[in-house]
Amino acid sequence: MDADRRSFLKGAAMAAASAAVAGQQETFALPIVDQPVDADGGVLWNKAPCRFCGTGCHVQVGVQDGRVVAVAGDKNADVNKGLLCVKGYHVGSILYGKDRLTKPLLKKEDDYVEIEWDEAIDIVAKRIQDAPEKFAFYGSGQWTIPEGFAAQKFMKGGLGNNHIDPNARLCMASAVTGFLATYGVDEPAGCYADLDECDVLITWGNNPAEMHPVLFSRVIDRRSRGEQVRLIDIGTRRTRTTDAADDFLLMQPHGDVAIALGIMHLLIEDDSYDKDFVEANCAFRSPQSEGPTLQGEAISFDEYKTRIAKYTPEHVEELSGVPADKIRMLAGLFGDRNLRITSTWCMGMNQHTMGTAVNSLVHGVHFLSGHFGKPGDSPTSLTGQPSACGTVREVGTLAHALPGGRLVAKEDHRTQCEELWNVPAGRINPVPGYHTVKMFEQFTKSSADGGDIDTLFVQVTNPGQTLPNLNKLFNDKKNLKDKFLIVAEVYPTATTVLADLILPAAMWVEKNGMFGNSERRTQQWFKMVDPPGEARDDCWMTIAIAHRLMELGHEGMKNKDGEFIFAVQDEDGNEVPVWEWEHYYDVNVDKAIFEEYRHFTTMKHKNLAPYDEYVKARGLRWPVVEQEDGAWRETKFRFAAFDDPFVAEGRDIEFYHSTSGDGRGQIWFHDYQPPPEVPDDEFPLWLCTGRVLEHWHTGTMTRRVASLNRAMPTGYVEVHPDDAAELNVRQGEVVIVESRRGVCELPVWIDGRGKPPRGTVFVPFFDETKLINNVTLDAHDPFSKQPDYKKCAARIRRRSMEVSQG
Amino acid sequence: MPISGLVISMVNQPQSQRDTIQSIASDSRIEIGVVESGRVAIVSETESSQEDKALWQWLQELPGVVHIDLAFASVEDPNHVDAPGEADVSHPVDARGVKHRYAAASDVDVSPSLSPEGLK
Repeated sequence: MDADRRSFLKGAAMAAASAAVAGQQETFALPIVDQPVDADGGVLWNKAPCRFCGTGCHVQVGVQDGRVVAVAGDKNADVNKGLLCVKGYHVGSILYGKDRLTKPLLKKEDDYVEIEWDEAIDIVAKRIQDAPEKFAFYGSGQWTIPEGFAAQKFMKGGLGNNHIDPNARLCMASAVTGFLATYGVDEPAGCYADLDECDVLITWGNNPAEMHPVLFSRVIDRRSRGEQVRLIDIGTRRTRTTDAADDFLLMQPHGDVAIALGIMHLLIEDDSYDKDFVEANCAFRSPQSEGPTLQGEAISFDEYKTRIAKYTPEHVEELSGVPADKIRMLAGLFGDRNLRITSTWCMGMNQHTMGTAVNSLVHGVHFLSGHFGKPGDSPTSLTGQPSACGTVREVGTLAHALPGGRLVAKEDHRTQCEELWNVPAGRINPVPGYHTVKMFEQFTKSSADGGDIDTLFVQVTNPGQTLPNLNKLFNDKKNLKDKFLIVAEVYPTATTVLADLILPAAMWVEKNGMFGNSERRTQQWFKMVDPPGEARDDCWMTIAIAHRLMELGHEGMKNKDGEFIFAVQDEDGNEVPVWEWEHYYDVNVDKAIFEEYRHFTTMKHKNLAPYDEYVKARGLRWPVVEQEDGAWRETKFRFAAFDDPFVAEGRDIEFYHSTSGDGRGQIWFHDYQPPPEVPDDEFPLWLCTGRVLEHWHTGTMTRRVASLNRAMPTGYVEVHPDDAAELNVRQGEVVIVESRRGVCELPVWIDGRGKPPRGTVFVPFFDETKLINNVTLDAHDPFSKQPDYKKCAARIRRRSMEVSQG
Repeated sequence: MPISGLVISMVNQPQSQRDTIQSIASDSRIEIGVVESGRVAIVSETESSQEDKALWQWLQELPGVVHIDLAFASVEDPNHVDAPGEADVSHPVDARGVKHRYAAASDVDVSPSLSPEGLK
C-alpha cells in the first residue's frame, strides 16, 4: 500500500470512528450525496445499504480503479449511525472471491461448457414456450425491489403463471401471516427507534447479538452509558444474546406459545390488562374448529377469557419448562403501564409449525397489555434478508400474492393489477401457485409420477443448501433427466451442483439496486463497479428472456397495446432496447420499474415516494406521503395518530385495514399444540439449526472472505458436556447427526459459543460441505407454509458405532 | 495492511475506563482518538487480516470493554493485481444510474469451481 493511500485511509478511519463517538461533523463525513464524491486520494465514495442482513445498515463504499477498496459506516444513516458489524466490515470483499462465475455454462453429459448469452437466453425461453404452465420461478429476499417486480410481472402479468415463490417462504412467511391475522396488513408498526426508548427488551427465540449486531448494540450502548434497560432472553439454548441478558428463560420447543398464553392468562386473572386500550382498539378472534382459516372467527372477551383460563403459570411451566414464577415476572412487567416494552423475534418464532399462531399471540400480549403505539412499546419481527420486506412482502413475490398486498384469488385485486400493468383482463391466473415446499416437491418428482414442474429458474438464492429435508426436496433432481434447473448465481453453490444451466450474475454494487429493510425503510444505491467477465444483472436476464419469448410468439409478453411488457423509454420518449445488454444501462431500468411499481403501493397504505427521493436519502420508511410544500415525509410509527397520516381524525390508534372492519386489531386465541416430531427412544435428541455471526446464511459470500472463514471455518454440532460424556464423544470428534430423513457428519463443539441444554444439539447451516438440511424436517405451518428448522428428533452416533437393529 | 476504525464501548466506571484506555494505548498498532460518554474511537493498522482479527479478539476480551463496533474498514484483496493500462476513477454509472462512457475494468482471474464438494 503506498504511503499516500495509507495516510488517507488512516485519516478516514479516524474521522469515521470519531464522528460515531462524538457525533460531530468531521471533514470526512459525507453529505447526503446524489453524485459520487471524491474525498481524496482518487477514491470515489457513494452510499449503499449493506448486502447482508435485514437491519439495512448504510455503508459508504470507496471505489478506486474500478474496485471497491474501502467501506465505512455511514454517519448520516439513521439505522447504524456510522457503525458496522464484523460482516459489514467485509462486505466489500465479497465481490472478489477467486471463483466468481463469469460465463454462462451449459451442462453437457457430465461437464459444463461455456456458451454465449444469446444461446443461454434462447434455451430458457424455448423451454418456457414449450410448456409455460410447467415453469416455476424461485426467487429471493435478496432480490432487489426491481428484480422482484420484474419477475412478478413476467410470471403473473405475462405468463399468467403463479408458480413464483421466494426463499423468504422459509424465513418470514409466518411473520407475514401473523401481521395479517392481527393488523390486516403486513409489516411492523414500529421502527428501530423503539430500541432507543424501551425499558425492557424481550428477545423471543432470537439471537440479535449475532444476527442483528448493530441493532443489538443500540441497546447495549444505552446500558454502557448508564441507562437502565432490562434484557430478557427467551430461548431453547444459551447464546451471545444470553450473555448480555439480565434474565434467561430456558424453554422447551414450542414453549413460546405457552408463555404468551400464560402472560395473557395472568393479565386477565390479575385484572392488569389495559382495559381502555382493549375497549377502544381490539377485538378477539379464534381459529374455527373445522377448517381453520387465517381470518378465523370473532369471539367475545368472555369466550376468550374462558379459553385461556387453563393456561395457568403452573400449566405453562409443564408445557414450556419455564418456571411459573418467571411467567408471573413477565406478566408483572407487561402489567406495568409505566414501562415501555419491545419484543423482538426472528427465526425462532417464524420457522415454527405454529408460526402464525405464536406471532399472533405475541402481538396479542402487547395489545392486551396496552404496550403498543408509543415509541418503545412495540412487538416487532426482525428480518434476516436485506429485502425480504421490500421485495418479497411488499412486491408480493409469493405464489398467492400480487404487488401492494393484493391476492391473486381476489377478482378486484387482479383487475387493479391488470389495469396498472395495462395487460388484458383475465391475464392474471386466479389460482395460487405452488409455495416453496410444494414447488420443489413437484420439481423433484418425475413427470410420470405427476411432477408437473419441469423447468425451474432460481435467482439469488441457494435452495440446494437451505431447503429442509434435502433428500426429499432437492437431491432427487439429480436422476431426473427431463427436469431442467437454471441457476443465476455469483459463485458455485450447493444448488449449481445440480444445475443444467448456470447464468453468471452481478452482485450488490455491481448493479443499480433498491432494498427494503426490517423497519419499512426502502433504500437505493447506484452501480459503482463492473461485474467480472460476462456476469449480468438478474433483472436484465428476466427482461431478456421475456423479449425472446415475445419474439417466439408468446402473446403474454405484450400489453394491451401490443407493446413489450418491459418497454422502457429514454428522456426523449424513445424506446431503449434494454433486453440487449449493451443498452441496459442506457437508461436507469431500476427507476423505470420502480416508478411503475410504486403505483401499486397505495391500496394498503404502503405508499412509496418517487425514485429520486431515495437517491437523496439514506432510505425512507413507508408510508411516505407528499406534503403541501412538496417534501416527502416518512412514517416511523404506523397506526398511531401522532405519526401516521392515515389514522382517522379523532382516533389515537386506528388499524385501518382491520379484518373486523372496525379499525380494531385482533387479539387471537390459539391452543397450544406440541411439535410435530418429538424425541423418542430411537432419536432421543432435539435438533435445532440456525446461524452464526461470521457467516451470512449459506456462506456463499462470507466463506470466500479469508478472515471470516478463518474465524469460523467449519460447521459443527453443539453438544452439552453431559450428553457428550454419555455418548462418549470428544471435543472436535466428527460424529454422525441423523434423523429419519438423512445424515450429516460434523465435528463436536462442547461448551462452545452457544450452550444447548441436555437433550438438545445445535448445528449452523452455513457450511456447504456439511448439509444439515439433509436431516431437518419439512413439516410446515398450515397458513404460512413455512417449514420448521428449529426442532426435530435426531440422534448422534460415533462413526465407529453400529446402529442397533433390535 | 488492514486499516480499521473502531468504536469501543467501555464499562460505565471511570477507573475501569482509564485502565482500559491505558491497555489499548500500550499497543503500538493502535491510535486513540476521541473519548466521550464511555466510548473511544481508535484506528488499528495490522499486517494481515489474520492479525487484524486477533487484535479485535484481544480488544474484545479486555475486562473493561463491553462492545466493539466498526466504523471504517479498508478492503484488502490478496488476489488483487493492479490493472495494466488505463486507470479510471469514475463510477460506471452517473448520478441518474445510467452508464458513463467507461473503460472496462481489467478481468478478475476467476476459475469456476464446480466440484460436488463445493469450495476448494
